[in-house]
Amino acid sequence: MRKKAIVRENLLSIIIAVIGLILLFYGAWYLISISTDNQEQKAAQTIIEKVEAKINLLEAGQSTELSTQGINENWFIKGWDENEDSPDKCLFKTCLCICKGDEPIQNREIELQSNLPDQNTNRILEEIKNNCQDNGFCRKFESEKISTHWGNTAGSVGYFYDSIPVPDKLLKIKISLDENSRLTLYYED
Amino acid sequence: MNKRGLTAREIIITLLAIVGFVIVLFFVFAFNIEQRSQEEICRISVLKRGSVFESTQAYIPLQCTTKKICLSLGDKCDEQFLGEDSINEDVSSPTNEQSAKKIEKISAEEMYNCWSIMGEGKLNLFADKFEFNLKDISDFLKLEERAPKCVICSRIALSPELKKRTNVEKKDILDLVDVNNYLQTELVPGSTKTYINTFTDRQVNAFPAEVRAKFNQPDNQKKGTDEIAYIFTQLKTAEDPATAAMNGATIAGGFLFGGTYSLGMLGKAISHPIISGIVGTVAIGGTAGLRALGAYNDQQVSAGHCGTYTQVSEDKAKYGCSFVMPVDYNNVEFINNLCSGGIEGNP
Repeated sequence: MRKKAIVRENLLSIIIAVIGLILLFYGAWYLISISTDNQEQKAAQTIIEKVEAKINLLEAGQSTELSTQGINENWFIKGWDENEDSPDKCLFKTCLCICKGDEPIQNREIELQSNLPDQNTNRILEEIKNNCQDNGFCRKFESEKISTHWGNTAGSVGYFYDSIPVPDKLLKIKISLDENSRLTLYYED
Repeated sequence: MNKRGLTAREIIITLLAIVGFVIVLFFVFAFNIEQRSQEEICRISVLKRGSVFESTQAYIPLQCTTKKICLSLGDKCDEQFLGEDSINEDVSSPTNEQSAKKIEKISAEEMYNCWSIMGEGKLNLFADKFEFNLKDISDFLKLEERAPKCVICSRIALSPELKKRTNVEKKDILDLVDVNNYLQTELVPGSTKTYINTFTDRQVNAFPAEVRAKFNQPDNQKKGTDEIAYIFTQLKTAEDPATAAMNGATIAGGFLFGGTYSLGMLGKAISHPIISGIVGTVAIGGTAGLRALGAYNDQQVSAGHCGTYTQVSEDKAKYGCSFVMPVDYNNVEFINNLCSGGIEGNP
């Protein structure tokens, strides 16, 4: 009876304290997540600007290399030709994007190469496109075609994917522009 | 509380709490972090991370952006820093000696700043989970399941015009650059200690003659590079590497190393697997000096610190080693091997 009375008397204080603590933890979490996201986005912008600057200097038949620090395994680089189903922000232009997915791009690429039904393939491609639309930075180019590849052909079990991961290490990306106006970005693991 | 509601005391306390919260928010937003210098932002984030429990460190991002410096004779480093914000340091001077001195000064300051900003190897900074299967290597290095993680503090590049300024016979600008000598003879700005004195916790005042001789040995004559990166790397060990190396005798502190030589605490502790592992890596992959062409004295010294980290303790003391190394930025494979646990910070 006495305990109930104490709780009743202090009910308002308890409610205020609980709300205060919730607000405090939410505020701390919010500030940290803003800070982390901002940092990743800043890094992504830096990378796509470096790639763009390198590409803009290329003439037909030339190639170059770019060394850059990555972000983390959820980020990737993906290109779309002007006539492909690309993110809206590409506006029917050949486009190169750096985007953040919900999981490492490698997982999706493995799925895409595992003879999925068309329906699942389309779903994954749509997810990649949405990642770039919602969480990506894109640059448009005048060339008609673009391809992004990530491969490793040195070992006995090689692989070759259509997007480039941007993990937290130093990356060396080869960029070339052929005589047929095709831009190619290649990252060998 | 009276029957009509809150007492005056409770109202005052609640109001004070709200006012306090608003004041804190004001300071958070008034001192907009974007307005601070990149180095200051980085230093604050390092201190933040070094002063929380290890289990929460992964949630505190290291807000360190790689500083890009173009050493030039009035031209630009478009090849290395295209599309990036960089600082152009014109090293033109009436004499080649003065130009070389400017390059030495910038290099030494960047090495020291990297070391200082990252906590001089005394803070435990990288605590997220180890994800790679390097069991064998970690056993060899006696790691506590932690691969080395890095921050690339700065990149220093030579402009096309400066790259041309090498001619050993005529002693052109790049042939006169000797950062090792600068570290030995010059004082850290605002200090009464030289750079090597500072890096080695006053254990070493000068490079002994035998070390100077080793600079000239073929093993240390690494090919120069047109872009150097000062990389801070840190790893953790299951035991105190300094104590273990001395069979129980407690010594700790800083040291200098490069190629086949070492100075300071490392000189005695070279037999410890973790230290010999790192030194071996450096000797094989090679730290670098700023030279367009290979020549003697190309390999610049690296600095390290082994011992117990200063941090909020959760259960037991944390041990490890930290290093700041001048590395050839073009050697991507070497950097990725050195930083097998990942690279943090902004490119």
